[in-house]
Amino acid sequence: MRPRVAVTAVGVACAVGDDARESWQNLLAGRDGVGPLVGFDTSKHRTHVAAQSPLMKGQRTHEHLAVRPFEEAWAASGRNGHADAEAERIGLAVGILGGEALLFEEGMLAAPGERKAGLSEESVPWLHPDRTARTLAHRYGIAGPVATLANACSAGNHAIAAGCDWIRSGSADVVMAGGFGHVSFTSFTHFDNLRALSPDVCRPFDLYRRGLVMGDGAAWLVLEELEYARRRGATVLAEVLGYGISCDAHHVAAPHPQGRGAIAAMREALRDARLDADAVDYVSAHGTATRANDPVEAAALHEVLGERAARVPCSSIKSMIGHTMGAASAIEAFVCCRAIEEGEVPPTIHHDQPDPACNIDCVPNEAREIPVRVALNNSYAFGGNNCTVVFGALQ
Amino acid sequence: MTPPVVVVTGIGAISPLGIGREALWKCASEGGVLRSGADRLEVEDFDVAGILRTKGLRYIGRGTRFVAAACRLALEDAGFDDFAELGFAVGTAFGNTTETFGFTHRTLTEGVGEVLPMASFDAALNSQANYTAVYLAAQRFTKTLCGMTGSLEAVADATAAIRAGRARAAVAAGLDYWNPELEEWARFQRTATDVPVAEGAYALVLEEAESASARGAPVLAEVGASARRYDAFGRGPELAARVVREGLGGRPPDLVISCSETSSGLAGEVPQCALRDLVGESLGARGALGSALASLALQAGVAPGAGALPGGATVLVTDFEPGANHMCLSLHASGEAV
Repeated sequence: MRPRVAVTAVGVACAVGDDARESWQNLLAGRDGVGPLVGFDTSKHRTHVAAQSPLMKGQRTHEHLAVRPFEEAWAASGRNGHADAEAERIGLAVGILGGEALLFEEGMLAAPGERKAGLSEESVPWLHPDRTARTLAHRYGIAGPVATLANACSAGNHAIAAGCDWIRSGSADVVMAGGFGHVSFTSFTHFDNLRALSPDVCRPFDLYRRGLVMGDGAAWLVLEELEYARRRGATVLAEVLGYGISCDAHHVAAPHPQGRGAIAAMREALRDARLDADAVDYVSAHGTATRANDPVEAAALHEVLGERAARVPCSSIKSMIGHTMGAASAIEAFVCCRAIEEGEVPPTIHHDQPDPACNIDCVPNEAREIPVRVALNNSYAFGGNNCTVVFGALQ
Repeated sequence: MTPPVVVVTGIGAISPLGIGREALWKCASEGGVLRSGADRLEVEDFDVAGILRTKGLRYIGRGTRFVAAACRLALEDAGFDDFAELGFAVGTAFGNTTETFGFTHRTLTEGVGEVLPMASFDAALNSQANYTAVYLAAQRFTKTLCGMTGSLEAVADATAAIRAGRARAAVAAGLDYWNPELEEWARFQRTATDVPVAEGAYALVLEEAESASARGAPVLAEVGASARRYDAFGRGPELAARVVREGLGGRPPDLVISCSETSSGLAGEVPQCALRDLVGESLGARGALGSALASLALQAGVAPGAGALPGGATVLVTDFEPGANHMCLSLHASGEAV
């Protein structure tokens, strides 16, 4: 029998909370974290809003945003120290969009004509995209497998999948898995340039959705081999039942129009979890609120869930905390775990006019109490990088 | 159920050592390209249009061109064309850094609204993976692993994905390329004073042995065990020795290919081949280069610069990054994997 993977603790930071408890309460309350973007001049951009975390205020790098929820998860798992021998049984999987940008931008924004102004003795070490993994591994004494996965908007789920693999293969007993993402001039301009950003709020699955809103965030899950967790008396929040990965292989920036990859990822995840589609109680949608994503995701859900697709609650928290890129699916994984634990799912806010092309129950505007035994966490990214993770209540 | 045996059936290279498998092996066998006094080694005579044979190349940068071309050559070498069953994993230390910097610089100098949307497509850390996966039509998985050991991680992870039934075949690749930002990094690291930085991309086609056999593909090597640990406590050689024991899976090696400076601890016992002596520091691409040379050595029955290999040989590829990942992967002569 293959080892089972338990989630034993979480740590979160986003626009609506600096920790897991505050974030969860505000997500259930439908609080909108979107506001005027601060930090750089957006007067030449088409849009001027973002869902920024208070933890990024005054920061010159993303380190504080990434480390603080890591500390929360680490402490919540009761792991305030470990023996050296144990260190090699602890892994770390970090999902990112692009690593650090702020220090480089600081130089270039100060001297816009000079490309090399972005490079200083202080900033050059941050060229390494795995810098955060190095920081965390050394600070917390993690000496098992460590990886930095640059799978952009699905990177958080990819990190959880990597952790799942390491535990199942016996390479690790514990894996800290998650990701981080922050609003930078480069990433904001990138999405603005693609005309993917909403000028006001984020309205997933709504007929009048106008695009995504970028956000800051970070989330970490403590994954443990189930028997290992039981032996040390850890509380199990949920179980990672399986995952599926696919690639659209269609376009570098647009989803496959029939959701080929999204369907494949969900089906593979359910197969890996040894579940039928009928078992799914809740879906945490990728739900970016772009014209392209939402109908494709809805169609993919219909293909996988069949006639139940219009009835299975399927919300997008991006309506409240924006798209946190490398952190997005890690934060949404946290939502799946809490939904299973507490029997309540967060809403999709700003949902006023349902889009007939998105015929799903997106839990409009108000949280809902429902028993959740199995939750799907969908995530998609540019290049068609799809990853779905299945979470379940511990049986 | 026993996991499938995974074999290497194709190699591609865009390298200062040469373009393509034959040029790579010939140059490596003859001692490499390291020249005293050189501070960097660049790819020369790279006909991207002739290899990729596709439109829109002006929208992709040097790194993306390298990876896509190396993968194309590897798949042609393997004669593989069932792309719906293909996964793709790439390792890189710096990714498309120069395109990201260039994009930011252009938006600042030309104006936010003046830069074409197409300029965004190659300006992300994983743009080379996105483009290559679309170009190859690889539908099973795509992942980008960052760090100096990234491409050896890519080979190990792609192998694990095939063993887990997540794909029937995969291309595992490594990439880094010379750019202005890297020049600053090299100066900061003082790498240029020790050994030249070499750009390049390398790709291996990995397949289920049964599928490869069914289509009559030539097998270069079989992939064995791997091990990965992080040097969080500065234990370097001691940790490396443990990783080596784990990565060998109980079989003594006949050759060690070192991708990095740190020793495997087996010097004096087993013939060694150091990539740094052949081509300098290949950064995030070095694990894929080491794996490619290990496969070619096993197929040829001879190690670059280290004489003949015995029948049924095992080659260990090591990559130990000081203060970071320590990793190794073993490859065996065809039919000899455990």
